[in-house]
Amino acid sequence: MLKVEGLYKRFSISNGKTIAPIQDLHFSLEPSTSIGIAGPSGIGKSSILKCLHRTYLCTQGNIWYDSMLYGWINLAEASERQIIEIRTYEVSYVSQFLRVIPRVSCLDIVAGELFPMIENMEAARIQAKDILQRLGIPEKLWTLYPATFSGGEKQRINLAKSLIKKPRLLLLDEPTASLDENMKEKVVELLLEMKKEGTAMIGVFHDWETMDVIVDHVLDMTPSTASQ
Amino acid sequence: MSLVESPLLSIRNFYKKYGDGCLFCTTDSESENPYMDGNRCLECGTVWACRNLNFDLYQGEILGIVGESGSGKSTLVKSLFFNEEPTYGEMYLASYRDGEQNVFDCSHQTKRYLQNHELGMVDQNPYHGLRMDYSSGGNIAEKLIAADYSHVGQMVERAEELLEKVEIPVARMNEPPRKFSGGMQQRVQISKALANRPPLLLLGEITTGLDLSVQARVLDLIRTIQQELKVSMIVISHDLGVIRMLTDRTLVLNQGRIVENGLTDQIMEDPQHAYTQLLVHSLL
Ligand SMILES: Nc1ncnc2c1ncn2[C@@H]1O[C@H](COP(=O)(O)OP(=O)(O)OP(=O)(O)O)[C@@H](O)[C@H]1O
Ligand SMILES: [Mg+2]
Ligand SMILES: [Zn+2]
Repeated sequence: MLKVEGLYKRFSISNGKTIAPIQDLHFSLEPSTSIGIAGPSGIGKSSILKCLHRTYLCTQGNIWYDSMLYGWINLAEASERQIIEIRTYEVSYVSQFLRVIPRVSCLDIVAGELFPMIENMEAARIQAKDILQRLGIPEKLWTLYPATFSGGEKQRINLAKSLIKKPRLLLLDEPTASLDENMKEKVVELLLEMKKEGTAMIGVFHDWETMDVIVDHVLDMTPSTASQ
Repeated sequence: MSLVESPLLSIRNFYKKYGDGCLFCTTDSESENPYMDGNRCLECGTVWACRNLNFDLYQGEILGIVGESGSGKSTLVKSLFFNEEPTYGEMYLASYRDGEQNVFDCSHQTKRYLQNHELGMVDQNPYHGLRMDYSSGGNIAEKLIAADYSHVGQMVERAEELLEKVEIPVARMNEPPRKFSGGMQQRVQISKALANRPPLLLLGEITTGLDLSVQARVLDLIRTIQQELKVSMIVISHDLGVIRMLTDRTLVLNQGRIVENGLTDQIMEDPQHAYTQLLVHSLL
């Protein structure tokens, strides 16, 4: 469902220099499978995810994605409106940082993700409660604003925002980085369940343990491998 | 959902000058004109506040327009609301003659009609958008009358409903906005703009000058309105934080030109134009 062909990403930085974290990258991904991106810090793992999400513009190359809405589409070149639709219904990105509008309760932030699909706020809240529960967010936090939440709580709100939509393709950027063992298990369980139901995943995982359980293939970005 | 969307609003080749213009500044090209200093003609002093703007707005989306002071943002919204005459350019509204008539060319009456039925506008300055000495309900009624309401009971009901939506106590409906705080005045303005159920809402720098917590409430209100009423909006701001919170797509305006447009998160995280990079980096 995803074919990345000859992907390059270059950034121009100050005084005419450039950095190129992604060079001639190729890989493909099927439904119900997952890829883990490995490599040292700063090598460009997040950049790959951001290119797939179009938060970064690709310098060169194609990202073919077999979408429900449009059929095969090159995410590197699709229109912004198409990308917005695809992000709403099919492809979701879980970042490390929660960025939300202030003064909206945690429950409504998560429920709000369903808005394009479900008109009824109450129905959306029921699903939001379910996912928050599964991710171990205590009920007493549901009506609060997440600005004051702990790192691990914010991370799970981020996960909830993505997972509630049951995306076909999930981009995960260290989704379990600030979670304790118990919480990590809950998240892994949920991810495996979604994978079984057909979701494809590409992720950066900070620990090998999580990587091992979730991932089918490893994309190693370590320079010696990348340059061969 | 159809695969090929048609826009609700299209702007083509839009120019606005303040001044007479001269031979040196009236031929526009993308390459730098040596007779101009930014948007100002060195020969005749004319300011080209908007230069060759082209963009579309789609159903239900919030489009951000960001740029520094003087970049032409206000000139653009004023023109979209027919409060300024463009110098050149075309504007098409899907709801008017199937989007095939350049509404800038329409009669004064038609523009008035569109203003009253198809558009809502919230001004940067509540003193421009409201009659400060009328009651708040009266301000809303004014817009309702313009949109052909005539039944008093219905108008009162609608005004109550709107004030409730923007969290102004209905008990204060008869008070003039002059007595309200800045945040409340902005909320009255928003309720007035929504009164005629316009498919398109234009929001000027609406959070400028408000405290952060008041700002947050206004932003939250706009988000709710967009989700519930599916109104399309154009949000103007010099504040990338506001743009990031509200919009999916953004245009970056510099000296009257669109220098970059893209997905808002892309503009923030991978800005392509040197000017956008400067804007983003001064935010962090
Ligand atoms: N009535 C006018 N007469 C002459 N010049 C004007 C007039 N209105 C605007 N300008 C000029 O046009 C340019 C664009 O102004 P505009 O008000 O649209 O900017 P803006 O982006 O809204 O700025 P701000 O963020 O300060 O509100 C500026 O150079 C301004 O000085
Ligand atoms: Mg302005
Ligand atoms: Zn001139």
